[in-house]
Amino acid sequence: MPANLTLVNIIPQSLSGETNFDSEPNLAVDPANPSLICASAFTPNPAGSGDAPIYVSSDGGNTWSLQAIVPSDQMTADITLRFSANSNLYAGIIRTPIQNDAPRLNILRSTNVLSGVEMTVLVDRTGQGVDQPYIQVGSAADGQGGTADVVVCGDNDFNQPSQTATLDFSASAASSPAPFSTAAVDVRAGNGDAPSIRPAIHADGTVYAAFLSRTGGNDPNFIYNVVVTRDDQLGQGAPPFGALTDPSDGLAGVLVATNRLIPFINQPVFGQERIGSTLTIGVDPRAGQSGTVFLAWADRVSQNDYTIHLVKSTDRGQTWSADLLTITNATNPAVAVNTDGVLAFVYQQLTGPFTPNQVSAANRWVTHLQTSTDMGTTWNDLVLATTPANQPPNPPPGQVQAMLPYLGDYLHLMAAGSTFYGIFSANNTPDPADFPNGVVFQRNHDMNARTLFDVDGVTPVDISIDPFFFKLTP
Amino acid sequence: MAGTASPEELAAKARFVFRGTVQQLNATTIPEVRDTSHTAVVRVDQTMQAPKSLRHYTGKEITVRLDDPNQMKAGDEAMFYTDAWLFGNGGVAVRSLGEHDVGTRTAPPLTPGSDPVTYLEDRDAQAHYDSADLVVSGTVSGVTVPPDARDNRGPREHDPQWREAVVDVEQVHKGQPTRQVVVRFPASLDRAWHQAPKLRAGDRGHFLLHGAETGPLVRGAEEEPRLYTALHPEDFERADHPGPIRRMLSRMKEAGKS
Repeated sequence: MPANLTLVNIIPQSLSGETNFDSEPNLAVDPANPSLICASAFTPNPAGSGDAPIYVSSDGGNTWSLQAIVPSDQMTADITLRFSANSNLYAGIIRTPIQNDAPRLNILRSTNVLSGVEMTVLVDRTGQGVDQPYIQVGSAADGQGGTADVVVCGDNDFNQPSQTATLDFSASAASSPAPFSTAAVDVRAGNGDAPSIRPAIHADGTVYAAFLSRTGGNDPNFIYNVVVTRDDQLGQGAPPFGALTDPSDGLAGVLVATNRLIPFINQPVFGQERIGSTLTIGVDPRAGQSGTVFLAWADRVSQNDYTIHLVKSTDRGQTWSADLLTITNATNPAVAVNTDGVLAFVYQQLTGPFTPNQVSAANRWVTHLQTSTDMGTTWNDLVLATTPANQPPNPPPGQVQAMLPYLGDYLHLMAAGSTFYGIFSANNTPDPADFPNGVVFQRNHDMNARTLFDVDGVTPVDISIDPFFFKLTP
Repeated sequence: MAGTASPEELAAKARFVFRGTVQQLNATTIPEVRDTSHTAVVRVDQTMQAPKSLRHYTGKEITVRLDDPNQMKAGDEAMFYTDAWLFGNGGVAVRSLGEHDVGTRTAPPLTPGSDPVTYLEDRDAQAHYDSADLVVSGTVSGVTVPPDARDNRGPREHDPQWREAVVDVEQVHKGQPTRQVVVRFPASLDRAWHQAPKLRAGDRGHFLLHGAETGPLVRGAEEEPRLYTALHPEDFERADHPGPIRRMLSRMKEAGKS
């Protein structure tokens, strides 16, 4: 493994017998103490009851444990995590069980994640239902010589009267009670938005949000505009998130790309994965650089593909570049810039011949981490994993139905200082060929036999999907 | 050592029940436990009841967080009624809900050779049976899409995609006698719903059903048959895949309760 790279399968040794599909991972690094890292996935409580668990590392990601502190019945239906500069952990979740057909949004906080104490509920909303909370956390001067926790959570809120892209935000989320505001950010007429609403926060008070605004089409072939909106005062602008307007109609939110076909297929159609809402946004964190922002989404450009586009704006989102990268048959993009101005981009690409609803031994899920020292002109490509896309099968052995997502509707990449931290989910076969730049397993395994073993060290365990943490200092 | 809760009450709440011996107070087996003011290292001498994830710890030392560590000292033997707390890289930690002397009446009963995982599965099945409104054995004769399934609301990942199965009843184990019952279940493969039974015509087995009392699952007309739901993985157990429900029904039959 390169000296500047860490790649760890985060399933603890004490859970060596598990065979869950631990997909859709997310990650939080404490900016005040980067040794403290939390991660999440679709991991159920191993005891079969109680709160939902998260993974915790207190040694910079080298070793991990699992503890149940999320108030949701055994598992969440969605979860994202982020730390504040004050070492508070925030989470946006869809709480289970889902009742009356209406997913329930919770925004949570823990002031001491190592205490084992259940997280506190700050926001609790159901109504017609809310989907896919994606939380980001920044900081601002609190006027008393310290810093306040700034929390912005993108979510798809079906309570909105028209378009559903929504932000829940607070400029002082560490307060008790924490004051949160809600803003519908898609102001155009339409038919509802895609599930992904992604915020990005800069320390100067700039907040970007990206969403996919549905303009037409029929199930499953929906048509969307890719939209970016902005607020320059941590959501306190008048109106909130109205700082960017599109020249075509003068309405809030710049239309980065229009009339894009994005099929929403909630079946294991794409390397055993579903497709339909793929989006990420990241801002240059350096002082004076909040005008540089990167955006990636996936759409269909030909007959059956699912293609990622990565673009850049250097004028605070008003205008956007042509594709910096165009990745065919890929999903789960995430973008980040570190404090040295290095750009990183991670994604998972399905290689081999692709036919919808079919997968074979010729297909692989390849997880790339690309970095650029010239803001996206040239790239260095690091393959973190290349795993068989047809294994483990979905549905898994012994089950009659598939489960989705297979790898996740998202993963995560972030920077803390000069280091990039990320997480993805993949086939967990302990095969060195699957991890060409090396990997460390905590759970019992034999790399030579390419076999996992239970806690007893003897009983073979079926392969499944696990979360993998990575850390790179370019 | 004994608290106010009886062994039976504690066993009903706890997931992991074992007989153990305190090795050291204010100590831990795993570095993830930072605060050892309430913890003890305990050797698991016999496991009575356990989820699969904790079935391999007999004979090993684990970390136990005690409510009142002053009640115990090194060398003490006790029945520990616990829940999982932390799965570490070198072991596990559990939270004690209470302890009782080994010499007193115990729960679960100290049955030599019984499997602690099966014991917990059976306990969970019994609790699930107790909470059900209707328990029947039968066969699915057909599955339809209800008019309010709302499959076409646009891109919603967590849409349940409701379906209704008609079950021809062969035997009623609990609830009002009936020859046919309608069971609503989510067809969605989404992680929020994928564990719910996906019923198909011809499926034969045991159904633990819950009445749909509120929300969009309520049927409007009184003359329509009452609607039941199957949302939990244990709400249906296939006849050709016997498990805890069949074991429970067999025990009840032997006891003359079914």
